[in-house]
Amino acid sequence: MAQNVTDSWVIKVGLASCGIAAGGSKVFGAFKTHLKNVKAPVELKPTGCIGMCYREALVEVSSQDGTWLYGQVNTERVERIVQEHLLGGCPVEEWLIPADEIRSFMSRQKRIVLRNCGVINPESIADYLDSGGYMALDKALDRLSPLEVIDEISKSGLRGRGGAGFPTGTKWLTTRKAIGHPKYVICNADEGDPGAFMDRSVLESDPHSVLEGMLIAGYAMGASQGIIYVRAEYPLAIQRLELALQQARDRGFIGREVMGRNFDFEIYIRQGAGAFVCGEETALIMSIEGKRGMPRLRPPYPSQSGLWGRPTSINNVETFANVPWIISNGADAYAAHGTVTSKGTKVFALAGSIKRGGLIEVPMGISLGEIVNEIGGGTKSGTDFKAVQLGGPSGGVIPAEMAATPVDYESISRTGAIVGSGGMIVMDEKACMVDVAKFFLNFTQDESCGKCTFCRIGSRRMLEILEKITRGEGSEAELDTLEELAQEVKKSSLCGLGQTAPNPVLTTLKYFRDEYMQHIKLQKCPAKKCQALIQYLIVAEKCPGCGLCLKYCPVNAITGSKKQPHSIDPAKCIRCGLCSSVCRKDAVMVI
Amino acid sequence: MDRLNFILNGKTATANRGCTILEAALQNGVEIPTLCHDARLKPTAACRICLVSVAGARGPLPACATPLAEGMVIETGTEDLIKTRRMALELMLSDHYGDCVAPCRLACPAGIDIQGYIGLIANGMYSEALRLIMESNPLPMICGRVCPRFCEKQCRRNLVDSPVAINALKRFVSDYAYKNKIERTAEVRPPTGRKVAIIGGGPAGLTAAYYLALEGHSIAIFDANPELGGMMRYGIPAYRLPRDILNKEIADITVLCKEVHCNTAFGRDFDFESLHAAGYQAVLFAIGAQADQRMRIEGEDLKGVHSGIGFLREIALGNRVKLGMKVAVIGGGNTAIDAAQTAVRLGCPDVTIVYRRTRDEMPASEDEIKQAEDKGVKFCFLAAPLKVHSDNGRVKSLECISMQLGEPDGSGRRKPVTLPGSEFCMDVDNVIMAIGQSVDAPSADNLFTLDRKGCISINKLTMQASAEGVFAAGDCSTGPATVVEAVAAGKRAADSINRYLAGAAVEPDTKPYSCSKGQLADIDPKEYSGIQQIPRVEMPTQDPGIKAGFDEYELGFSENMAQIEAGRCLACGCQKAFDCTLRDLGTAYGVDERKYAGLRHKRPVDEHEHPYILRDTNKCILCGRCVRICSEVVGLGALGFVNRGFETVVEPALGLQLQQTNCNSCGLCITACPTGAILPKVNLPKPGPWKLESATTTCPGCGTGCSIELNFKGNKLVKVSPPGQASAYLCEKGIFNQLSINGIKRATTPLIKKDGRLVAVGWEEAFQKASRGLLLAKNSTGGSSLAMLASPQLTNEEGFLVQKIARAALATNNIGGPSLTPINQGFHKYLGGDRSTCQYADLKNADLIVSYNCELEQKYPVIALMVRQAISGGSKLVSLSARQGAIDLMAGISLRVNRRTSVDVLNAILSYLVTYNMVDLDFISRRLCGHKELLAELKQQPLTRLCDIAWVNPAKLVEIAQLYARASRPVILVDGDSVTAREAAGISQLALITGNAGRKGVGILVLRSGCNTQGLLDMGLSPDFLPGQAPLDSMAAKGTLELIWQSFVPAVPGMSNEEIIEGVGGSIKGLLIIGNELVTSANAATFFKPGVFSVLIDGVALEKPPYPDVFFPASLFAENEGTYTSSEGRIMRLNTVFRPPAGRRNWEILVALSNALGYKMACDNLASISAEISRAVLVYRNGLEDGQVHHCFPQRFAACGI
Repeated sequence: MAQNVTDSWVIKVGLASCGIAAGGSKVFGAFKTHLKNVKAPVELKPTGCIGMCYREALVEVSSQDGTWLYGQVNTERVERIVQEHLLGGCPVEEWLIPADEIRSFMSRQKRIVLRNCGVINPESIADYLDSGGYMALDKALDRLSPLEVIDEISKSGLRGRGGAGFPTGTKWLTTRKAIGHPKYVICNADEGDPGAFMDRSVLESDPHSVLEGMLIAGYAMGASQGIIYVRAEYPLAIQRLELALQQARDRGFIGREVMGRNFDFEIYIRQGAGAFVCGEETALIMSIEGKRGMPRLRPPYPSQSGLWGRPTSINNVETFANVPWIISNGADAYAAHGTVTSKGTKVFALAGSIKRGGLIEVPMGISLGEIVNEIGGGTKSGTDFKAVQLGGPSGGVIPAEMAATPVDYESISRTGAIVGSGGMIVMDEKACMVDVAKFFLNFTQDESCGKCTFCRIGSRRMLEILEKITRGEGSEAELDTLEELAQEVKKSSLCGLGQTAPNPVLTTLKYFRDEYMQHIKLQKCPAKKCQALIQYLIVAEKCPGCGLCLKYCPVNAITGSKKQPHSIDPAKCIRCGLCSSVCRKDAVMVI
Repeated sequence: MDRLNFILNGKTATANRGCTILEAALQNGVEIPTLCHDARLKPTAACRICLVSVAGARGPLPACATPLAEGMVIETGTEDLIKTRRMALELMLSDHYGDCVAPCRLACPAGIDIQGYIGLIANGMYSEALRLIMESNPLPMICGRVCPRFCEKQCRRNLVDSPVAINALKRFVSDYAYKNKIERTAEVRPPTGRKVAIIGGGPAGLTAAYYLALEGHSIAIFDANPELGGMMRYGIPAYRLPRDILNKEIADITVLCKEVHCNTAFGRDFDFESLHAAGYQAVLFAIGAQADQRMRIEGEDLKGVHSGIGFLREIALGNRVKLGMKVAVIGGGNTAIDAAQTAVRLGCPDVTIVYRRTRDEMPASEDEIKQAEDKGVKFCFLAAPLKVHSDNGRVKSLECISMQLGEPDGSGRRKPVTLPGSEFCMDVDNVIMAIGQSVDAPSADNLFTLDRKGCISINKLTMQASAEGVFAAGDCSTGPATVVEAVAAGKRAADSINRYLAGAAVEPDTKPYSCSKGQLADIDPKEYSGIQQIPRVEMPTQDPGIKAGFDEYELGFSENMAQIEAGRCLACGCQKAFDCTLRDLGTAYGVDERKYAGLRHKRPVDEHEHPYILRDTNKCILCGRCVRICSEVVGLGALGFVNRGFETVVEPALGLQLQQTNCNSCGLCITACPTGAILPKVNLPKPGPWKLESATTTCPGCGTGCSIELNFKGNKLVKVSPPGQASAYLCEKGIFNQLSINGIKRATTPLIKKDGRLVAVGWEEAFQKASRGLLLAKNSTGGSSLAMLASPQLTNEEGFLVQKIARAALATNNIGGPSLTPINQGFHKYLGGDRSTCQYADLKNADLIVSYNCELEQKYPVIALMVRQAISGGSKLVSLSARQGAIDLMAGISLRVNRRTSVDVLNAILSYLVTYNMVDLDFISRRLCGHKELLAELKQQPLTRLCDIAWVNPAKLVEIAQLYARASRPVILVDGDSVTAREAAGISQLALITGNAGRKGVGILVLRSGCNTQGLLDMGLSPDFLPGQAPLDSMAAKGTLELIWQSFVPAVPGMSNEEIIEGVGGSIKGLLIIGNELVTSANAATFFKPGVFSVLIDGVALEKPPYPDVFFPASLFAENEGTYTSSEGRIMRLNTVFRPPAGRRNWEILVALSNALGYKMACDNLASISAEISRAVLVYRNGLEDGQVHHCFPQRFAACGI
């Protein structure tokens, strides 16, 4: 449809959660209001995540003459864009995202999973169909036998994008061969890593691609039911999924005799109540069965005995979103990207202290440095990045010295981190590595299901040692205990959560041991992050005595008379840092 | 069988296919530790203790959940695994808040089980209490008087009010035993022929002598003093330790010794060589520390200056010591106090204790100081003697210097420093220097060396000195200490010597791991804020005003005082201490819970949460066994996991109390818990824990006939558990209800009614009176005016005797019991007897279980568990019942029937089967006598049509009929209490025409709520059936009986239960009731009416009128012996655990009563009774062997008209 527009405008407003959070809905509304006066044919439509989340709210204006991308659009800017660009024919240059920025952000990416994100209207099945949607399903049902589908997936080299990287084709084949009926296809959309939003963006921006992937999987494995286990914290994703399900059902893509073929497949949505551990496949199954989400020992693997004891294949959102593309374009096209063992592309949520944070998709094998410095544009502060946390709380920290590490499953695991589901947090020199380990461990120990001893108590004791270290009360002996605990928790925990929970500690210890030692031996936090180890000071020479800090200090730790340099009473100071952030003269110093 | 080969710890092994590594290892004799695994449950792999290494696996694997595979190479005990297990245990224990052992015991040098003996005192079990103390301390009367009580300082009761008077209780119970002449010495083992010489007869030597003598060794004690006792005799004045007490405890030990030599000093009168020559294999030096320490001040050697210990010794020897009017005693320890008090008691009016620190630093015990103050002893603190001035060689005055307290010294006390120029003098006539003692060790370099302090050097753990076979213990190896420390050392030395003599390696016992809540100071007193304050019982004393004489000052507790004081004990130590898997593993792996110390949960314990179950989540290790057994096995899910991560806790849902949930008090959670987090409440004033004895018997809770293990201490039942932990199921009736026996007040003699009151009499008199009364009724109005009522709790043997007395001695068939169901004519007619035709084990293999109006979960919980297991194993359940129970939710078909519709429902099913010819013609023709008549009868009867029954869905009936007819192994469950004869007939017919009776694995299970209803019906406790359920008019049966009994059997059928009760006071003139609370105060008036002579044999006597004419105290559960017959027809043996309080068992009473009635009971012991039963009762012809199942598998069923 879009290519048929000859003398009309198309305005797309990014309305995934990132866009909405930045005021996208209001911008959309403002366009609606202002476009009432525009005579020219204008199509205003919502779209998903365009990827440049740091520039939200994003508005894409296109006509036969070209495409313009506006960043940080707010309601006030809408009128001028309409007036000058649509009516006047002159793009508002100052608000346009510079072309070279778009180029450096986009040129290294290869968008397969995100092919439709930010392109189509996620609430319109017509848009999806226009972009070739459900053609892969049609092709599979029409021309491929189930085993041929599996073969195609195997050949493509697609590996589970949820984190473990298990070959998808193998999993499907095991499920296909397993004895038991009915068989289930589960889409794991219980994305819980702090800082990760890949699955959410895909579900919000292109829900049909996931449904189509599940349908193809169902056909390939001989399953008749699909369940999307999505966390209740993703209301927009659920809403768009439900809409997409309805649309697909209405078109006969889901239900009895899919596309008129001899294939029945129904898809249900199951909302998770927000336990991180429910992303672990056996716990996820327990949760769907209505039990407490606690992992159980594997084997038997879900492929053999899963939901209700039946063969079940559990794949991640991103994995499913890849499937239609592979079927449509062929395994070889997919395998052309990536490395020998890690084929295709991977979506990352680029976050932390990064200039251009957002959703990116890169071919496997690209180096970490390229992602951070070229796509992401380096750190926010402009200094060199210090480390990258990859794989969320189960992952690890990779130091800047290892920026050349190619992003593929094997190379990343050699560093001690994991590719994981795609959370990538960039840290600059202001990040304290002990604090980072503490943050992630706090998360995992809190989210442990409590079943096995090592994870439940071991990770807690590790956290307590980290807390002591960040308070300056740690000892070298305790550091040994920490390491010993970390090794044992990793080795002896029941499920992936416990087995990977020590990774942030182990990697920071591996690459930043000296930082730990400074906390322990000198009671100093080099990043000036650990509250107990820092002190706020007012530099008398810089302080004009404006009294702003005094006003903001919540504990009255600051004294000083007007126009005289102020001072902080370290005994009263709770190191909240408010003084430093309000000071206009940069007179508050941290030591 | 399909076996797999594997390699276990380097050795080839085999095990069954399909088992886990844990099971496979066990089959090969290797036990892999686990906490979360339970054979009754599916594996969960939560605790991570059972991790093993399997070659090729990525990491260690949980043995409990990993299936064995062919060719596996398994290691179960590598260093890595041990490290992992130890860490898992240490992590668990780092969040395990509780005291395995009470802190008092941990503080006691001798390690006396203080909580244990206080608990026994509280329960009135004094001799058991004393025996428990004597396991660790053979001098309880002495220590009960002189112990400095390290225990009381650690008593958690300090956090509430004041510590329990632990030592006074020890003194009470040992004095009590002395006064009441209770034997206290433990059993002596047979002589070993080995000889031990003990040098020194003080507390260490005596203790060692006692424990070595118990082991059977030949002991000789050598002592340099005129009498044994050491410092206990020569250092402790008689007002603290009376000489008769001292002599008694010494005598109890010396009586066990081969030789005692007093006035015999080592090095003077004998030496090591002479001992060696005399054949002594081991020598223990326990010579104490009796030498004085000197002050090294001028005037120390003057006449009139005494050493503390020398002074006390002279007095102890009975010598006179002349003292002046003013005496100064130097020192702050107990010897100083003793010397000062002794001086006062000798009549000295002015005694002053001079001490260089203040009262707070005095090492003497507070009580002693207080006593001295009461006696008028003065104190001069912060003063140090410099010189004793003399006048003509006589003491004139003591020059001192004032002190002040400076910095703390090595002992933690503030060090006194002199104040220059503060010298002062006090006029005195005598000075007693009580500043300590030292060891006066003989020089014997070849035997031992001396340390810096002059003490004998030993290995402190084994008490071994340098030379082979030489040991030392007590003050001589430590310097002056306390009696209890010497006792502890003596015991330790005895253990080592015993090992040495046995040729074993001399090493100390493995100290069991004990988790602790921490030191007193570390515990938040708030934790104990809910405990009621009770003032500590004060020790009664002699009037403090009496100053002279050496009579004992402290008088000891009365029994009442001891009871109150014992009641104050908080019972801190864990009830599970003796059988805690977690603790055992802690010991085995040598763990330290402080290694990974961090936040420890301290959650309040709600003691009133449940009537029987006590949960302490502070001890929970989240193995989840309770949660899983409650949901997987019991199907209730009363407990669950709440919260996540470190905050996870096992709780009932929605914050309810356990008893507010659907908990049915089956107690299986208790049997599953590997530690002390879920415990049974003990029905005793104090619960222990103690090491318990146990015995297996049969649960009298219902007719299911479960085996139960009784765990008891002395004559108290402490808890009930399934025999062979983790294998069996029990219910509330088994685990908890039997414990009520502790609370029952029992009669100990027969009683007869005199002037409206019950009066105790001898057995003979009671038998005479009973027989006279009953015979009078028989002779005047005939046997039919007599009746016997029995409870369903009687054993087969008792029941047989009861009806034999009725029939043979009293010539009546009036036999019954209000709770005894009569024989069901329906079953009797069609199945040849009113009994089950299959076994419980058949439920497991049944493809269809039909439950007919059983209320399984309420009445037969254990059967319900079996049904539940069968369903999860693939059986189908059809439930026909009036009300829907939880198990009906698992039923394939659940149908509501009631009394009005039930027979119609059965008839409709029968009708359907006959109409559509779904009967087993082959079975019918071969096995059914009168089968033609039966089928004709069924066809003739106006059987109900399916659609004619109101409120019942005909489609369901068709389904039930088809399911039953097509099932290959169907079992029908029926409630024998409530099933009517017509229903029973219908059920029997259903089983018969489909061929589902008379062969193994199928049939009807008739459940009984009375624990021996089945047996008593078989024994002939019936007005119209003889033993063996033979009809009264069966001439063959009657003839056999008359032959055996040598007596006529009355031919007139007896009255029914209702008629008997109706007839009491009318046609019934004599009544013999034997039962277990069959008669209560509430219904006594029904039985004990004027005009009826009544005899009651019962465990519990009535507390208010009306009374029977004669009452015989019977034996109750756990006192009885004999057999029960369970609902499935299995003979279950009862084991006697306790002696009946009146001394006679029920069968003995019955035999004697029969003899008194003039009918000589030929069978007068259990063996002859059961022999007679197997002759008289046809189905029991194979005897009453435990576990024997008596079934009715007639070749031909008498169906109809026969």
